[in-house]
Amino acid sequence: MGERTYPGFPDGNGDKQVNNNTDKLYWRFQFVYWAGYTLLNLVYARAWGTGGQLYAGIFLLLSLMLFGVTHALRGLYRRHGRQRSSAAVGLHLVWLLPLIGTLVQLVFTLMIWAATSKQSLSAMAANRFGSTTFLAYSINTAIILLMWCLVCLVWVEWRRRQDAEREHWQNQVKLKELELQFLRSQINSHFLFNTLNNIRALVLEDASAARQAMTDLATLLRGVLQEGRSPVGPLQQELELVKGYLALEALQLEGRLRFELDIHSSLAQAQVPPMLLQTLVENAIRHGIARRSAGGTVHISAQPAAAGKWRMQVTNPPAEAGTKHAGHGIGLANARERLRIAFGAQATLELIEATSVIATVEMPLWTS
Amino acid sequence: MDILIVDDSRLARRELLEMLRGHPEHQVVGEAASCAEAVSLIDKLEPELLLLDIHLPDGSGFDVLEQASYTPKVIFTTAYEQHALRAFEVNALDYLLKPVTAQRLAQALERAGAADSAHAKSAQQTASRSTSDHLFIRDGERCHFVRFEDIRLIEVDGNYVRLHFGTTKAMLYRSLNQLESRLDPRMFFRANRQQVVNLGWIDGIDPAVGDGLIIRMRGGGEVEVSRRQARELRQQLEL
Repeated sequence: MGERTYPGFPDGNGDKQVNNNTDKLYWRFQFVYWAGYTLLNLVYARAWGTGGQLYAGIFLLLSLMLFGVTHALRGLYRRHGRQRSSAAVGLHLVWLLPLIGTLVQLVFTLMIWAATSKQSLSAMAANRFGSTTFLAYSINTAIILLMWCLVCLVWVEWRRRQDAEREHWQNQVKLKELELQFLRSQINSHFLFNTLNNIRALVLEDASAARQAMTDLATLLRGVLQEGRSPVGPLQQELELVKGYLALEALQLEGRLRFELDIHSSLAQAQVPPMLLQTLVENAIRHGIARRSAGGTVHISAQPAAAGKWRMQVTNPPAEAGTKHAGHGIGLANARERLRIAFGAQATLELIEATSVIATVEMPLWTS
Repeated sequence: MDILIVDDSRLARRELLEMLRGHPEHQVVGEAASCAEAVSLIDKLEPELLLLDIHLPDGSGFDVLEQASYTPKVIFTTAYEQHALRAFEVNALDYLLKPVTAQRLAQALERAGAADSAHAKSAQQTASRSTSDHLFIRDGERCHFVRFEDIRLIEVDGNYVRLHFGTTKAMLYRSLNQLESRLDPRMFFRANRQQVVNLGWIDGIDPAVGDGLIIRMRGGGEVEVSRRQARELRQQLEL
């Protein structure tokens, strides 16, 4: 049950995969953002007529510093910000970013000044300490950082929502699966206990028939337990199991249950999902024969069809009018799911309810 | 007790017959395999106890109880579905899970028998055996076994009747005339064309205009007694 994984839904291993992808995306973003910033600065400088290798070096240095600062910010976020909402993180940025902007400009300007004190650039460095210019540079840096943070926060928020949604659907699927299993086990339990009760009485009147019934029950239980093991098995094997199942139902229904088999000889080895035919026959009995005082006949047929396919059909008379129909389609939903797992979209299951009830499965002809 | 077994599986009936051989104080008077058969056998044999399967080919065990004009004691039998029994209040009835253990069967039979003798004392066993002491009522999703002595008032509602008991007013899909034939005339009195009261639930009687009477009921409510019926009531109470 729990071992089943869902394609498209990452499990424990998948989370690592997601983290890896996140890292890659982050580094790409980091590179593009700061390269873009450097380029933009260079273009502006050229427009102002102050281009040259020196400026390129200065801008590269600034970008590298900011690259490091933002990476540190990311570390800070991962350590303290993750558990908080994006709004709370944004509130901290209000004081953090101006502070960092000022510090970065301070260090940056000092570095220029230290490296170039005897050269022409010292004038520029001095100029940078002019209070209003320095303020402007700091604000500029803070804004650049803010933009960086906004991009990251928006992305994080988007991811959070996506994760929440994914988790929601994942849970829904698991819930449905459990529901299906629960209902299915209930259906079988009713049959199982009736059968045990019938066999107990049968021991009194016909010991060898009781022995045969025990064997049929064992075959059926083995089939139920192995249902999920392989997606398909040969029709012949399925038929043996269904005959045993019919014999057990006949203990309960006796003369009210009759059945006919019409199996094309070429189809003995045709591959069919295990327990599929049994589910259809069980439905035919539960919702048809068992709800008729006079009982009826279950007709099972398997015939080749066109285009490399074959057709399996289970026909039964409908329930007596007036009896409540307790069908919840669980058996059918389950059968469709098993068909989908085995054959994908190539197989179909249709139910027609008219003067008789006909379940038709069409699937590709695979032989082992 | 006289027992009727209702189960669509012959082997299941056989199984119960076999087990009941260990209880010679009880007799199986009949077997039924469907709702229709069960209803006609209940009306004909008037068994004291039903061993009743919930799933029947033409309906459910509840349908049997609703359609039969006589309500025996009931022990439900079922292979699995306890949820079908959730409709009942706790202790309202007994049920057995198939395959039935000898111990549980003995317990259930004893309980049914004990209820029988307790009631026999309280009702002084004056009524004929065919009058059972309770009714089965299905009220939407809920089911009740109601003892006649707990029914305060029976009122006509359209073609059917409404029963007042406990805190509930439940519909019974029978006409008042149909139901009246099952009521003990010493317990119930027809006050007018619309209402039947349980004499045990009368708190007091006041005179009303034009020789009529007004009955005050225990637990609230008043019922007018028509002039003709007032005479009848006076006579009955004097006796």
